Amino acid sequence: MVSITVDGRIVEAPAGAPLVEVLKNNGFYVSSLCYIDGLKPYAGCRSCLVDIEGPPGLQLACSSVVQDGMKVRTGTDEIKAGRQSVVSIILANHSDRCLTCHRREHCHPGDICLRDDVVTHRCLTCSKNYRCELQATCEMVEMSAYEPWVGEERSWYQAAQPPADRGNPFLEFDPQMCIICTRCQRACDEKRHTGAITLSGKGWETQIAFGAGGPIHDSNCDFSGACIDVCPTAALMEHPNKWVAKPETWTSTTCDSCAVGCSIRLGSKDGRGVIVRPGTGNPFSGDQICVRGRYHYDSLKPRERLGKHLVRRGAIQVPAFHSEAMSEAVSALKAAAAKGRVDVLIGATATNEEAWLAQRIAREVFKSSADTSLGPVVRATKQALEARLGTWRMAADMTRIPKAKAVVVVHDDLEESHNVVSVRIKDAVVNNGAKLVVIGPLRSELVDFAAAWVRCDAGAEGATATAIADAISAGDGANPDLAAAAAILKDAPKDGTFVVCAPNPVSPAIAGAMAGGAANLAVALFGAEASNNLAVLPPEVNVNGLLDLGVATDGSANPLEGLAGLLVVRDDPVLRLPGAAAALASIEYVVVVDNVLHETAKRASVVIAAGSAYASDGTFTQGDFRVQKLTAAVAPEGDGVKCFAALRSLGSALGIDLPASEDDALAEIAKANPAYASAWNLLVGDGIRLDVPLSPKASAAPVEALAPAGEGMRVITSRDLYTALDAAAIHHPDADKLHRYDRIQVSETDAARLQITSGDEIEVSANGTAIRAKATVTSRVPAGHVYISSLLQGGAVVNLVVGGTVPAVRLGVLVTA
Amino acid sequence: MNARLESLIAAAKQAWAAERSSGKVRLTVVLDTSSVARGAEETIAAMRDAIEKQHLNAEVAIAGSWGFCWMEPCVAVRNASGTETVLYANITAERVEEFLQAVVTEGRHVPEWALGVAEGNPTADVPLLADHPFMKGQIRRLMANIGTTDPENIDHYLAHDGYVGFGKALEMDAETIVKEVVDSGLGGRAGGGFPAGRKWDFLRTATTSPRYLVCNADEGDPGAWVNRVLMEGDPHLIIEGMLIAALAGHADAGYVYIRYEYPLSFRRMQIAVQQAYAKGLLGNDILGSGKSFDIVVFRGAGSYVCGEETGLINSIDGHRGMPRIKPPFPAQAGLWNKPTNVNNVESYANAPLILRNGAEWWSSVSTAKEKGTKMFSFSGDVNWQGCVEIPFGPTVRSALEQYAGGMTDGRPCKGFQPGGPLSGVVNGDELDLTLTLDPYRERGLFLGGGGIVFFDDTTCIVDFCNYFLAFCEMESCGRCTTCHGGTQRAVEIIRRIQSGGGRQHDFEAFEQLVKTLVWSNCFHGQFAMTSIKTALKAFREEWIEHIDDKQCRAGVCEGLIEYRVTSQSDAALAEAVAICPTNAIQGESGNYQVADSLCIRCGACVEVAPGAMERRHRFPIEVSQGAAAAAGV
Repeated sequence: MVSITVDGRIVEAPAGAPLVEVLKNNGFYVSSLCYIDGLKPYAGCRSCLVDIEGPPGLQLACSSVVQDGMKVRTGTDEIKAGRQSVVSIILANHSDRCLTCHRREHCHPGDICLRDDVVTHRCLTCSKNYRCELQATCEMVEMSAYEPWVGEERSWYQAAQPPADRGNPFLEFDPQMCIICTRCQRACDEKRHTGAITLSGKGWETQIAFGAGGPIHDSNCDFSGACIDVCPTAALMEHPNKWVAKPETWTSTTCDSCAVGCSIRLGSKDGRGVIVRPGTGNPFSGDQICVRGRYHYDSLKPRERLGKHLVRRGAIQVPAFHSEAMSEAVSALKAAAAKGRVDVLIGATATNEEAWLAQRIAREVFKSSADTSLGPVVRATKQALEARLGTWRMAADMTRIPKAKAVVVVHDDLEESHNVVSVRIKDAVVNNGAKLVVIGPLRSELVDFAAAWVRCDAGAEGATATAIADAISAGDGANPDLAAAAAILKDAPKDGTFVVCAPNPVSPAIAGAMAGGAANLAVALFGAEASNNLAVLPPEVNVNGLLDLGVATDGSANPLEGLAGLLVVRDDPVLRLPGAAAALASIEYVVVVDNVLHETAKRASVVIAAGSAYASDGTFTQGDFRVQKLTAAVAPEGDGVKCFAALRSLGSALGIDLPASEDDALAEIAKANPAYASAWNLLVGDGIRLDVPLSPKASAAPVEALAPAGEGMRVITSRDLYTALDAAAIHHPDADKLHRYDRIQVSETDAARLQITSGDEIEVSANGTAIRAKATVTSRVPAGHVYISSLLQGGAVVNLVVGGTVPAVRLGVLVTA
Repeated sequence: MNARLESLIAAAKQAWAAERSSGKVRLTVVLDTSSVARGAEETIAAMRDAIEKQHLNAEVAIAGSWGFCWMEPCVAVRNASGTETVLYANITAERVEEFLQAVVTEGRHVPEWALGVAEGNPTADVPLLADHPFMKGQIRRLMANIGTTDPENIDHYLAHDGYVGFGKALEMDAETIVKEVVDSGLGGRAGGGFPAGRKWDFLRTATTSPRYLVCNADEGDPGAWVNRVLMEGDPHLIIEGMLIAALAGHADAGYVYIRYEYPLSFRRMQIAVQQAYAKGLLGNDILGSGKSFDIVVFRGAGSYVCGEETGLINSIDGHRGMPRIKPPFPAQAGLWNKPTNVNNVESYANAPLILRNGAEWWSSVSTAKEKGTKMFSFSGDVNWQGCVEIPFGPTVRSALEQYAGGMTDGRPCKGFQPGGPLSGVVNGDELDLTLTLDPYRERGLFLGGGGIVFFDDTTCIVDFCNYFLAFCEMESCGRCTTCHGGTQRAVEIIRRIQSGGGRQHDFEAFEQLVKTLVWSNCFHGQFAMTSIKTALKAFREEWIEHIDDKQCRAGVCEGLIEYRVTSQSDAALAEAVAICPTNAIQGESGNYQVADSLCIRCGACVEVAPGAMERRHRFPIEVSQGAAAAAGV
């Protein structure tokens, strides 16, 4: 740390730090419209002028670095005039009459503009009004009445403005608002490593373009919205909330869309979520979220969620008051308990506290066990890890990934299933020169960053990882791809290497093989330290929490078998378990607590409408055992109640005494599971990583490549990036708003052989199940395989899975496009 | 000296001598971009055709430009016995037959086309070329072989002491080479004048490797083509210069970055590099010395800012051609973030001369502070648009008279612009400034890479600034608000003034832009306003006329002039009506009027009917601004 003097005040700052950050962090105002904290300066806006003693003239704060004894002035007349002049040039190409209007503070939306300004050109009618960085800058730089270029030939009001791109459901780009600061381009490139945005043209034609200059959805944009977060104007904004998102409250909470558990800030209005921005609590996700996290709040319209409790009257379900539904639920469950076994299914988007209540009901009321519909997959993963490492809880801290020197990924498509982990791996590759080894059949985006990609058949991921592990230990390199991957990993520093595995979310056999293979690799690389360097990412957000609470730790391969009654909390077995619809039909009493009327709820005797995860208080336990806080940001829809409250009254009515609040529940959890003691004093929104001990043993065990279930093409299935879970559960036609994954993907080779073109209607079938959808021909899929999203048509693909093998299907063309 | 080099040179000299004693008349046609534009390729085709058909005892060769760019194609004719070479100009294809008849078949001179005797004794009708006013006073060192040797033949270069400087450098250590170049006083030839030797020393003392050399051949200033003459005339001079710099700076590879608009330079440099590789002068273990150096010839994509060294580096790196933020400077982190030395074509080309003949010889020629010779290209409203090599120091006036042949039609020189669009303008009453760096620096502009554009009183200074500002605007990379936005504003104001909408406030607006653009990242933005800044000072009155009086004294600014019918009875009027491309002359016979809104000021009507049409000031001199406003401008 050195001392510098700013406007006469002494400020301590690290030598070499960017001056602009030091000034901002110490409360000095600097107009800075292109700088992004933490990235290299672009120095394009030229407005962060300051006076540094020594060099002649004014200097830029963004490209200056702190030096001991530096004397900086930020408020001289010269600086003020300089900033005004620079900002005036920016405004000449931006709708600016309000920004420089002396009346702007008094003006209301309905007022007649005394300056004859067109309604559509006013800040008051701009979607970014009052949350606009340019607006704030103009205020601070005192641009009022400073308009040297008004009326010039090509200034904003005189020149035709380019049209906006509103062609996709997520991201709007309005180039007429753009001041070419290129923050979006750098965020996309340097923070996301996507590179979908570019600066094109020169001179007067300089502009921001997506991909090769066409619509955004034709570029490789993955709609993470990192560009939106940095845009200083209304040029880049979320499509769904562009005009409505003036939230009343911002709540720090946690995303429920995957096991990364990114911190988010959820803006709400009238009890409904209207906007999501990245939060600050999770050091792993940092300032990044993905398209699912940013837009999941909007996956369903409020009316498409469940706002009424339902009770069954014969063939139909009718709305009921809460008390009525509750008493029917209680009597149904009691009747079921009298007849036979009653189980509880808890979904992986339930919080720890909700799950704790549900599993106490299972244990204490029904003397049975609680499971989740992901149980078979989760248990396969767990057993594979336990067989090799003696525990399923991996000690590895994922915040080490960006600093790794080598990363191995065993996955279906990590980019899609756990997007931000993929971003952090790219960080390691791009910023840290890490070598990436990718194992998996799909040409995922990570492949572009990989030093070696070992492409294998679906079902052979675990066996391939094991083969690499063997090649590392034995120096055996029959297959050149394997040998190359093994060589890279052998040379990598052991304390800088990380293995990431995201087991398949649908097939228990494949999931177990993937986890087993990854564990073998970790054992070969790190020996006894294996669990310190292996991250196994569960298929949904709170799977690790459920397991820690004792939910799903044991159970049968078919959790719906032989039940008289079933209580389903935030879960949808039809989406996850083969043959679930038929199994449910034979269960007399089914009670569902959830916020959408999914296929399971449709078959229930009683449905209690409860809020979504964003309406819950509580905690999630993430993939690397970081416990993240949820704070209710929205109200349950309609008559719905908080899930926790619903479970608590259900428990009381069934005769047990459940904790009164989420905090009390967490206290009970901490008592039952000492690992959660530290989670007890969670700060709001911040996460605490649980203390996970090193695994007791580390020994490899063989993994066989799984054979296909029969003749035909192998099916690859995984969680895709765009489909929303709750929308998929109700078979919403826009569950995937981009309509990229409501199709079946076919390889180019097979497409040529079978004469399929993108858009053809095709059918895949096996086990008496047929799935029809449009085809997409893509190089992502290897020959001899088809790719079907795990959420396509409400999880239709689960019915193709036959225990222990890779699904194989026949493929036929129905209608040619 | 290196034995392999010696044998290469000996072999080349032998080959050269053999060529000279072929017993045929040798027709060496200048084939460079200027001469191609004036039909040199057709001339060569016609010559080859005639030689073949008529079985003439002659052969055709090619060479770079002598500098007589305004009267290409030039052809040097060496007689069959090799005793005399005469240089001819303007030998277009249609003259070839007559020309060959005289110089080959009849073996006589054609005095009316001859420029002079280049080799041999002057005759009564053809004087010595060295006595030609354009050649007299030139000291041609860089250009010594241009015009006589084939740029696509490395042997020609080797036969003229080519690579001797490199041979000497091979026996010196890096420090000594640097010292020799520092002692010579060689300054950067792109206009900066920074000592090249010191720059090389930065590279020599860099601590990381690999290290790179870049030759900046992105000569984009309108009116400058000296680098092109070098690359198309004697490319090996540049390669040898880079080799010497590589030895001095321990560089591993070099890039020659040639602007997109120079396809022939690109091809010639490529051929030269290939030949140098073939002779073992480039690549691994050069001439068995254990030293290695590679050269890549890189063609730009047509961006002016890639002439800025970091923009150029970005372009080679595969990024958008945008100047980088400095620091770090290229000497610390240039190409692929490795130490890099960037010099201009002419700077490298001087190195072989320094090494070959010594620093003292090299610097002896100039009496000015700047040492050595400098190539200049003169253009604009002058009689001779050519390229010369002279020592620093003569006055602009003497250069204009001697090498540019004076102003066209004897009109007065209104001013001149050295150094391209980022430099400024100098008033014609300052023609006694010397061709050295300082006088321009003192005036806030710079001499630049050697292009000097003269203009006469038919040029409007406002229009002139419009041209250069529009150029700067178009070529802005788009990074700095101040540059891409500021140049837009400046162009808008100028165009408004040109269309009669000048306001008193405009002077202030220009002042503000001049101050603000200085905060740009690179030279492009920092100096984009120089032409206006200097023009406002040097031609203040003319600006006031434009802004206050709405007068354009040169009659150029469209909005300040108008056309009108002066005589309804003139017979040519009908022709003017017919030729008007926008049908702006409306009405019927006896009552034609010009519809001003349709008129595009092309001037065709005045050309065909000077008696019936008139171009005149749109606003009478006494008109007030209010009246101009009333007229709708």
